[in-house]
Amino acid sequence: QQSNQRQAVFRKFESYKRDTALPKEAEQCNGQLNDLRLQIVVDLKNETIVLPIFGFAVPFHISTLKNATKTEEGEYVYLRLNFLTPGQATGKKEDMPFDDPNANFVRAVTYRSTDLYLSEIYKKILELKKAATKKEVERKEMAD
Amino acid sequence: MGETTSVQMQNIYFGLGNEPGVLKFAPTGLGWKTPETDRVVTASSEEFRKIQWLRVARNYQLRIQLKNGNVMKFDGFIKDDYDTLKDLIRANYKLNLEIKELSVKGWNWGKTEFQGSQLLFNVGNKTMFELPLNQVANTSLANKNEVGIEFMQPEQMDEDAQRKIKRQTTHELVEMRFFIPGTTLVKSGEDGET
Repeated sequence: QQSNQRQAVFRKFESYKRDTALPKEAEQCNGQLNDLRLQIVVDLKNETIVLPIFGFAVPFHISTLKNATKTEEGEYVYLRLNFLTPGQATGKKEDMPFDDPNANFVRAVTYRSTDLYLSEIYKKILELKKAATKKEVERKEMAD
Repeated sequence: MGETTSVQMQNIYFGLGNEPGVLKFAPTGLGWKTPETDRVVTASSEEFRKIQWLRVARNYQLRIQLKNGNVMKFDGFIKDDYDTLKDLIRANYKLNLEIKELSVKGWNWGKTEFQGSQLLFNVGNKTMFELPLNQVANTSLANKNEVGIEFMQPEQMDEDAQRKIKRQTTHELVEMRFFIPGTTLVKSGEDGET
């Protein structure tokens, strides 16, 4: 039995195979004021958060997300996403695997908006993270 | 095929602007114009060096690299425009419409690289996103391995730009932080001057 030899192995994941698979919300093109293309999109099906970064629709798989925080300041809602990177002294054991520990990492992004929908997005992100964590725990239990 | 033609396309955005305009291709070059504000951008085909097609947030982008090193970006094309543009560009400008593939893996690790006025984040040999350095308001070093980049917000832009942006409920990127192991790459990055 190898159940106790479960070494910390990096599990590959991929949001999309091709750019044509990016969610529809990121490609709406109707010139409306409430422009989804400049907003964060949570793609539950592909477990991915698509961020608008200077015109690009940039996917981040939920596995890269460490946590998310929301703060309100005046008329603005701020959403900060913290991503997993090496060298983070979290309570977790430091043997967390990385595909390439010497790469450069996006560690955090902060968005702000007067749009109340940003709070909805925050909730969606938390739900997605929770579901992904649960799935991962189940997967590990199955492997044992 | 092979005959030069003129084509006009609606709802095309120029650069990061959020005002749609009409983009017209003629054998001699191209012109883009906004119907409301009469903003005009033109380029002569003699200046074209390379033309690329890539997926962006606003559907597809036509990216024209000019011989003087400048780059013109037009967003808002639909997927089906590719064939029309490919034929048009070949006939009018004798250039190939190259497809530029971006990384959509969803990873947060890659390599940062400076290219002209852009900071690129590449995953493998594909770009994941670009940060235009003229949009950077401030940079900081949180520690020797962490670089923070703050971006310009509408209140830091001129009134005209503010007015256009205020109309929309956009999600504005305020800041990005990078973790950069080792020290060599930090040096080539922005210094923490304030």
